[in-house]
Amino acid sequence: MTRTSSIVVVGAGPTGLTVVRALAEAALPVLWLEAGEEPPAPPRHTPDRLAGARLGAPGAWKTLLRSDLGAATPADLRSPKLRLAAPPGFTDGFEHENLARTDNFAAIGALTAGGLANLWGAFAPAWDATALNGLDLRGSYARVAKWMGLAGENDGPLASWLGEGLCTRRSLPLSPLFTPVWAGAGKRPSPGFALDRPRLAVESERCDGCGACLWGCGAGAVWDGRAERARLAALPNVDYRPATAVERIEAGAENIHRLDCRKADGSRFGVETSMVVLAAGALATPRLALDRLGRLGEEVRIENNPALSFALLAPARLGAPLPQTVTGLAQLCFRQDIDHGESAFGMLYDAGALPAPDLIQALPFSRAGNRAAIRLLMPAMAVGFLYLPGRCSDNRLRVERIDGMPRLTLRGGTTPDCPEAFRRAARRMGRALRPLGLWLLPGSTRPTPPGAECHYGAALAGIATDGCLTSGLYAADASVLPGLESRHHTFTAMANADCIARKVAAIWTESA
Amino acid sequence: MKTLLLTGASGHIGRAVARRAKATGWRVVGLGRRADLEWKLGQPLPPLSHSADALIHLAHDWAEDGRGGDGNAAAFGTLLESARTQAIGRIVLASTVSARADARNRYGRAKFAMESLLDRPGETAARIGMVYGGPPASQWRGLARLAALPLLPMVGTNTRVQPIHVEEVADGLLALAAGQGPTTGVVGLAGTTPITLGAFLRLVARHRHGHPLLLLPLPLGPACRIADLLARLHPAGERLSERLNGMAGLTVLPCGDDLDALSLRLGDPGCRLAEENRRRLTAAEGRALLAMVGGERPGRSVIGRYVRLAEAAGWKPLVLPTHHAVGLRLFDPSGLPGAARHPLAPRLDAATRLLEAPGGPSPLYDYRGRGRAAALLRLALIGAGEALLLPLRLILSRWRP
Repeated sequence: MTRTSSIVVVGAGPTGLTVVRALAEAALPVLWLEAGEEPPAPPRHTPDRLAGARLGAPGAWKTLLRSDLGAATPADLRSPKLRLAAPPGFTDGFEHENLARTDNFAAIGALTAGGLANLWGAFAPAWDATALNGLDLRGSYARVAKWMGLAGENDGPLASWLGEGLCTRRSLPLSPLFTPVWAGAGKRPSPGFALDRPRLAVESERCDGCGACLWGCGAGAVWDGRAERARLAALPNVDYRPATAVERIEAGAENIHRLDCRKADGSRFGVETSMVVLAAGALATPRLALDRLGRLGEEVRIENNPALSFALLAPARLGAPLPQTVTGLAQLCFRQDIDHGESAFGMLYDAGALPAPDLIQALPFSRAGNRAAIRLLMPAMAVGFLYLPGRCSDNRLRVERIDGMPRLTLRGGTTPDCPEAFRRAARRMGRALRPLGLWLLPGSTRPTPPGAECHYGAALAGIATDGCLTSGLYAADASVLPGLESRHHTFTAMANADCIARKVAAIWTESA
Repeated sequence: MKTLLLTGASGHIGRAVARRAKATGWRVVGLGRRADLEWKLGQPLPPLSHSADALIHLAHDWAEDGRGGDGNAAAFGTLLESARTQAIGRIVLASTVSARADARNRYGRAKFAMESLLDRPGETAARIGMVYGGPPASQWRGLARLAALPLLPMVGTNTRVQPIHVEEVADGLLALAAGQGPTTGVVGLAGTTPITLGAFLRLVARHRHGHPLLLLPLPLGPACRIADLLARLHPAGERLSERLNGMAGLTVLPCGDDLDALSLRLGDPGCRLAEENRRRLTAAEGRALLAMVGGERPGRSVIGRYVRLAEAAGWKPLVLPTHHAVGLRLFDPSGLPGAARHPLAPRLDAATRLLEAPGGPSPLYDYRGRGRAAALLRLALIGAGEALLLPLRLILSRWRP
């Protein structure tokens, strides 16, 4: 057991990174523990990476299917990104480390430095900056937006809803499919519906539209924290220890926390400290926190956004060629008002940047017919996701000790009104998109199974006010958000982490 | 190291014997025109530099001598005499289950004549059943080719045969050469469970070619008589008559005790064929599914990737009703009730994914465009085609491989 006089930060995903950044900025000593290793180098990149590979460039199969054929193996219902871009075994270690049992819940995480942000969609909307846990996040949003660099429109129709004045980069170019849609959006408004360009954590200047976003951005344009992590790890006041998993946290004497750690080689060691900030992810943090607080066997709510996938057809684009350059990230996003004064949130993707097999498998005809049909429809197709607020999810999380180690049991579900909320939202959305030239394909709406959409959070909502679990123990990731709004929370979780880290820094400086 | 002399080493059985012998520690000396020792059927054993422990005689001359007999027995006599002089301890003659003094075909009579020359201890004849398996050669090649046809008019489908794998034959012959089992007389080396020729051919079609075989049985008796007539007119007819009469004269030879004495346990022919053709069958399955989904002939590389995926997933090759892309479409369960549990479903998914990169331009994507009118027309045609297919698919997709 070693005693450290540093602040221990657990996790090097987006929130852990934000915490360490804020602490390092305040010149405080940080011991930074991360269960995973650095992710493999980004894939090789050429301007026609996707189109070229599909047209049969030499070695194309390694680009599209990966040399271990991982992208061609039978898929489950999870996001295609986990198949296309994730290295083999990307999510395995996470399950082994965290999970005991899941019931109707897809628990997805990665024991890799950077976590799921290594293959995220880069969508970074802000929430209402003043209403979160009583914290004022305005400064934090601005700080995080500045160092990540957001591409988007500051004066779009949803500017106030997505966060004001945060974009510093131009949006990615629209594909031919969406250009007329976006142009028509201003002219043909629908009540309760607003369309905008999404805010993306993308260095738009580096993106050349190779289209292989889902296979991992080779141009290094999509923010994944890799560079920032390397910069912070090199600072003299930051001691970065990758491949070190925190198995358990115990209470020591006099407000000291003891962390049981295990290195990748199996060797164990302990660390004692008076300040811990947990940013291990929305599943791993509740596991460590509830175990430390002795709340074993207790069921807590954990939210995620129930999601509905759907397909749209732009009849005007039928018979057009697939574009050679395209982006696989969301190109348009929208807000669709639903009942109770709430809003659903949607994102639209160009189908041309998605793998055709996923679309082919979804059609109801024979396989050969589906293939021929999708080949014709794809240039005119958009695929979208519609998200409901987290309160429509009904998932439960429980921590139990198994062989002395805390493990999660997760049970998934949705509230009884969720299917009807989806139906109504989809109908309104379909009506609003039709004047813009996008027809919702009948029968194409499909709810995502609980958890499969990944963005979990709010498991510690009622437990950790302002991120504080107990004296000297803080949680700073999505698990301490008070609840999930319908739009993605990664950016908000980072801003929240920045805010909590600053508070931790102030407390630490004061006590020192 | 013991030395084995081997005639007919380049034949179907000969190659298997040589390979198994080398693997089990024999020094193999082949006798033949292009073998280790220059020798021709009819000649005595050439002088040996080292002494040899055993001789296995597999060579056979199919030519007729013009009087309804052949020179095989005389030639073997010469070889046998010289082998006895050179004091070779074990002599094993490869014979046939159809060997009889009054056999209907010349081959059976010749082999019987050769068997009757063996009268000393250490001299054994192995009566071999229907040899299958391994790389296609001699009779096995013919059978495998027949079984590859979708529809086969065939005589003698009810004749009972005793299949034995070529490697089992090799092991049996080597056991005899090593002095195991009976040291004199005749030993049976054939399948212990006789099956009809028709059933055997169907087995080969299933487990070597991956599709069912439709047999159209023809009567054997009249076929033999026609062949006998033809034989008088043309030498080609003579070969046919020889084959058909061989088939007609087949009797079942009980050989369980002999195999036990040689400690040989024969595998099930279906299992053995499935095992040794697994990769071929998986490739054939992949070729058919990729062609069906992609609408074009798949390249070798993408078929190879299909095999890799199938082996990693532990999929057994399926016996498809047909390997033809259009025909196979009728059996496609996609989109129909129960499709998710159909054994074709995961394979079709794999094939679809692999077509993202088939080695050339992917058939899943259109980077050229064909204009709106053409696209609409095509969509309408696809829809009409699907509507026509649907009733047939509803019936045929109940088929399970």
